Amino acid sequence: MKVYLEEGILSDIISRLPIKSVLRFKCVSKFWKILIDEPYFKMRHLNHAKNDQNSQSFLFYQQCLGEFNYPIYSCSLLPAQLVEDTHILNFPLNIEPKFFTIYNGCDGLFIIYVFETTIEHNKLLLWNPSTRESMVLPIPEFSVGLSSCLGLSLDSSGDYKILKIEGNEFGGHKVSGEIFTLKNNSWRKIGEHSRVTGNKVSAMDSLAFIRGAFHWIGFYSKTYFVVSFNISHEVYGEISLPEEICLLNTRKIDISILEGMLCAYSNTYDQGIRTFKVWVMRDYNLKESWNAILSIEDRYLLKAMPKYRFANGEILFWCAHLRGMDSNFRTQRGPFTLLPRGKFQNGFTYTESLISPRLLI
Amino acid sequence: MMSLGKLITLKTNDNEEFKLDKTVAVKLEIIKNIVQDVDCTSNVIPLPNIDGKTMTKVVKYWKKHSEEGVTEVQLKNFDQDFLKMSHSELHDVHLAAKYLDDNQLKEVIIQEFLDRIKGKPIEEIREVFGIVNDYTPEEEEEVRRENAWAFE
Repeated sequence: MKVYLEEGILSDIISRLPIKSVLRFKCVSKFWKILIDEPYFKMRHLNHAKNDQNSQSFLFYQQCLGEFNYPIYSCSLLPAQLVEDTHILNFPLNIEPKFFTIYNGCDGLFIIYVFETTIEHNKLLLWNPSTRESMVLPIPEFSVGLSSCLGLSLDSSGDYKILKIEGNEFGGHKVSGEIFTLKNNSWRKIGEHSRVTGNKVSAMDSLAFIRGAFHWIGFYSKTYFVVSFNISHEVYGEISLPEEICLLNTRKIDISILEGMLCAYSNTYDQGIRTFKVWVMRDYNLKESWNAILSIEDRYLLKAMPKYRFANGEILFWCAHLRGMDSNFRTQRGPFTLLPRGKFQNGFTYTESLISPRLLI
Repeated sequence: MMSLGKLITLKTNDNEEFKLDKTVAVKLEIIKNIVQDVDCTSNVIPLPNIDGKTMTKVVKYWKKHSEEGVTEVQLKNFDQDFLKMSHSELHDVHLAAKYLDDNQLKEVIIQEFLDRIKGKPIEEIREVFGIVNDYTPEEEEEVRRENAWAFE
């Protein structure tokens, strides 16, 4: 029994399939390939995936200095599929980097900064691990050091932009950021924040993007707060940190995004006790809505960063733990054994997408 | 149990008539608009894009899903049975649901199509949807090579 599907339903059906199936189905016929390659279809697929809790993925990697073996893994975050779905990704463009840092972007895209022995050979890559496509971007005017942090997002006019913020943990001098617009394929400096004298970004995964703006922690004298930078209008803003963090008077604070909310976390050490604490800001930019969602006291927990919150409330976090050195991912209940063991340097949650880095420029 | 809503009549393109309890019919966006526009008690609403065979299935679905006191489990079993139809019948019901702006029914049908094609080899997908492979062997090989990892 054959059926001739009209285009609307066909695109409806294919847009809900996992990326791997969609790519396979390009072989069905020329018409299917044209349909799948259309930017409109790719956005449609992405919108489905964003609204589907089940299509959240996790990318994590391991780095052994001096070795040319850098496995990057990706897996589903559905506990039922996680183990079965974990697979190793090849480094884009068959590069064998000396050292690299991955930054989480948006729409399933990542930025990789590749460090080589000489600065001229450093590379900046835009990568979609779901389709394995990548492309080389110009590197920023000022080199990306270990103290800087990058972020990638879409602005209100539909342009993808990369922001680079240089960290200066001890303050004192102003450093300006740089912004890259994919359509113009060029970097330029952004204006300075009027008050901030220091940026604390070196411990961040990636600049935290929410509500059209990137966020990181800035300070002047000894006051810490969240700095926001709207990428469409290029204006700064300030958001208060949780009261409790301000009272702690600690530098061990960072921010990220958790469940689509701004998230602050602290790793403190006081009289032999190490505490890892996490807050989320339920209503954006409303100080009173900071809400503590996790507090772990563990004398072996050196440093931790929240990564994902499962439907059952469990929080997946990366950590440097003095015991159980072979596993860096844990939840409140202990080591997260569903992920392959090993010393993983970092991990990110993302939504798989068909967006092609090559078509963005 | 029938509620006391008034009856309206839907007439398909092959002149089959479906008398519906108004509480069932007004759930649908298009019908709701027509019903609001005209005094519908005696009116017959024509459905020029839907045939009787397809409408019988749609009405069966509506009636079950509007039943008072029906449980989740009963609906799940009903849907399972309801969806036992050929690909082309499924496609016709989807077109009807689309015309009638019934998102719930549309969603059920798409899910069923997804279940039917998941994990199937390319050849079988072509067979199911009646697609003629218009690639030359070389072209097909090229597309396969570009996405080789997806076939692993």
